Amino acid sequence: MRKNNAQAYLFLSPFLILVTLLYILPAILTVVMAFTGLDSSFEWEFEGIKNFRRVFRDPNTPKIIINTIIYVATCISVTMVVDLFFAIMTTHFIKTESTASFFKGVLMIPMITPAVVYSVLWIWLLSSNSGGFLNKIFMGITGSQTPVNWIANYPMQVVIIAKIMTSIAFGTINFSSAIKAIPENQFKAARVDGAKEWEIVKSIIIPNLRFHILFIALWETLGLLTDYTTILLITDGGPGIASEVWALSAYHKAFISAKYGYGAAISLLLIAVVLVFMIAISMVSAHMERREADAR
Amino acid sequence: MPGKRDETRPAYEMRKERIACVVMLILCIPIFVIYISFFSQAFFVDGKPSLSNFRFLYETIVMGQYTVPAMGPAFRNTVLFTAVVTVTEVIISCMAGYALSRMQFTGRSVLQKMLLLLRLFPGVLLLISILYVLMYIKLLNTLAGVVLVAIALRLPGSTFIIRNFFNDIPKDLENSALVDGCNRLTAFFQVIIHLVKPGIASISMFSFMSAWSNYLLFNTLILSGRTPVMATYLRTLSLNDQMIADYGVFSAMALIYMLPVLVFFVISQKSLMKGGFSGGKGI
Repeated sequence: MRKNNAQAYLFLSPFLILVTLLYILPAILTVVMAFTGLDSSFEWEFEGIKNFRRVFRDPNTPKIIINTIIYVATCISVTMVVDLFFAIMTTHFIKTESTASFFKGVLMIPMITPAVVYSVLWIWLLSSNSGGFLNKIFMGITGSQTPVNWIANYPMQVVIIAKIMTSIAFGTINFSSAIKAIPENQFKAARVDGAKEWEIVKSIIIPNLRFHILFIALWETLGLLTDYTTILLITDGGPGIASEVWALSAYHKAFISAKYGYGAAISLLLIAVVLVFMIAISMVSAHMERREADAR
Repeated sequence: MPGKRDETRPAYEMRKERIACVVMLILCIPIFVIYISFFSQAFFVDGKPSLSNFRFLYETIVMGQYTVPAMGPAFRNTVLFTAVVTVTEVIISCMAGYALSRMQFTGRSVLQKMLLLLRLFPGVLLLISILYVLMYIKLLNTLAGVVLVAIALRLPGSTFIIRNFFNDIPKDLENSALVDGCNRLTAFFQVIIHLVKPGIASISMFSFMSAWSNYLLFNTLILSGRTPVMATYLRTLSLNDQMIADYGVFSAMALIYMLPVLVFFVISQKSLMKGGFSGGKGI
C-alpha cells in the first residue's frame, strides 16, 4: 500500500502531542529530577546520587519495603484465589445467564464506587466508638465493653481487605469469559469418565486458564505497586508509617513535603521494578496472542 | 449460549446451580448490608425518616460551627470535566487507533511498539514531573490542566483497545468505501466509525467512570482548592469532625454523587462485563 505520511500524522497528531507532553516528557523529567534537589523553590540543582543515598539511609525504608511486599503479596494471592472461586461459581456452576450476571454485578459494586466515597464507607464501618458498625457487631458477639479502634490497630489488614474488595470484579469477569471459551467437549469427556466437580476444576478449568491467571496476576501486581489511592484515602499510610507503601511514600515526599527531587528518586526506583513487570506482561500477552492465532 | 440449554440440563446440574446460588447469595449479603446501612443514613435524622439531609441541594447548611459550602460549583465542574474528558478521549483515541491500524506511514512500527509500552506504563508514577510540566505551561491549578492530564494518561490504554477493534474490521469493507468515492476522512466518519461502536462504547464507559470519580489528579494538580470537584469536595467534608459526627449529610451527598455512576452502571453492565482487560488501569 502507498504511504501517506501527511494524512496519517494528521490523524495521529493530537495523540502524539498529548502523549509527548504529558507522558514522555514527564518520564524523562522524572529521571533528571531524581538527581536534583528540586523543592518548592523549583531550582534545578544537581546533586548526583544524593537522593538515592538518602533513600537507603532513611530508617523508615526497610519498614516501607516490608509493608509494600506484604501489601502486594497478600492482595495478589487472595485476589487470585477469590477471583477463580467467583468465576467458577458464576460460570461453571451457575449457568443461567441472568443469575450469573446479577452476582457479577454485585461483585462490581465496590469497583464502581468512587474512591472518596469508598474510603469513607470503610472509615464509617470501622469507626472506633461504640456506635461503629463493626464495633456494634463485635461487642454484641463477644460481650466486650470496650470498642476497638480497628483502623489504628490493624491498618495493614484494613487497607488490604478494602483493596481486595475493589479488585475482585476485574479478575472474576476475565476468568469467567475465559472459562466460557473452554470447548464444551472437554467437560463432556470428563463427565463420561466420571470426574468429580473438584477434578474438573483442577484438571480442566485451571490448566485452561493458566495464562489468563498469569496475565491477571502480573497486571494486578503492577496496579498494586503503583496505585496508592485506596491507602491514601483510608489510612494515609498511618498511624505513623504502619501502612505506608513505596508509591505512597513518593507521593508524601513530593506533594506533602514538597521534596520533588527526592520523590522523583523514589518513583524512579519503583519504575525500575515496574519495567520488569511490564516486560513480563508483554511476554505473556504475546504468547497468548500466538496461542489464539494457532487455535484459529 | 449456556443459558439456552436450560430445558435439556440434567437434574444434578440444576441442583448444583441452586447450591451455588445460595453460597453466592450468602457471600454477597455483607456487601448489601454495608451499602444499604451506609446510604440509608441519608434518609434518617435522629432515627426518624426525613429528607432534610438533602437540604444542601438548595441551601447552605450549617453544622455546629461549620458552614457547608454549596455543592453547585463542585457538581458543575465534575460534569464539565467528565464530559470534556470522555468526548475528547474517545475522539483522539479513535483517530490514533484508526491510523495505527489502517494507514501505512513512516515510523508505524515504532509507534505500535510505543503504544504497547505506554499502555502498561503507570502514569501515576509520573505525577511529580507532570506537576512541573503543567507549571511550566501555566496550567497548574486549572481545570484545563487536569483535563489534559486525565486524557493523556488514559490515551494509550483507550487507543490500544480501539486499535484492536479497528484491526478486526475486514479490509474489504473499507476498500469498497474508498472505491465508491470516499476519501479517508469521509470513509472514516461515514463507514468505519459505525463498525467500531462496541469499542467506542467500551472506552467511553471506562473513561466516564474514571473521570467522574477521579480524586488523585485533582488532589495533586490543583493545590489552591479553588476549583472544587465532587471528589475533592466530599473529601474535604469527610475530613471535618463536625460532618463525620453524623454521616447523614455525607451519605446524602455521596448518594447524589454516585447516582450517575449507578445509572451508567445499570445501563452498561453487560458491556462492562465484556470489557476484558480494558478496565484495569488505575487512573
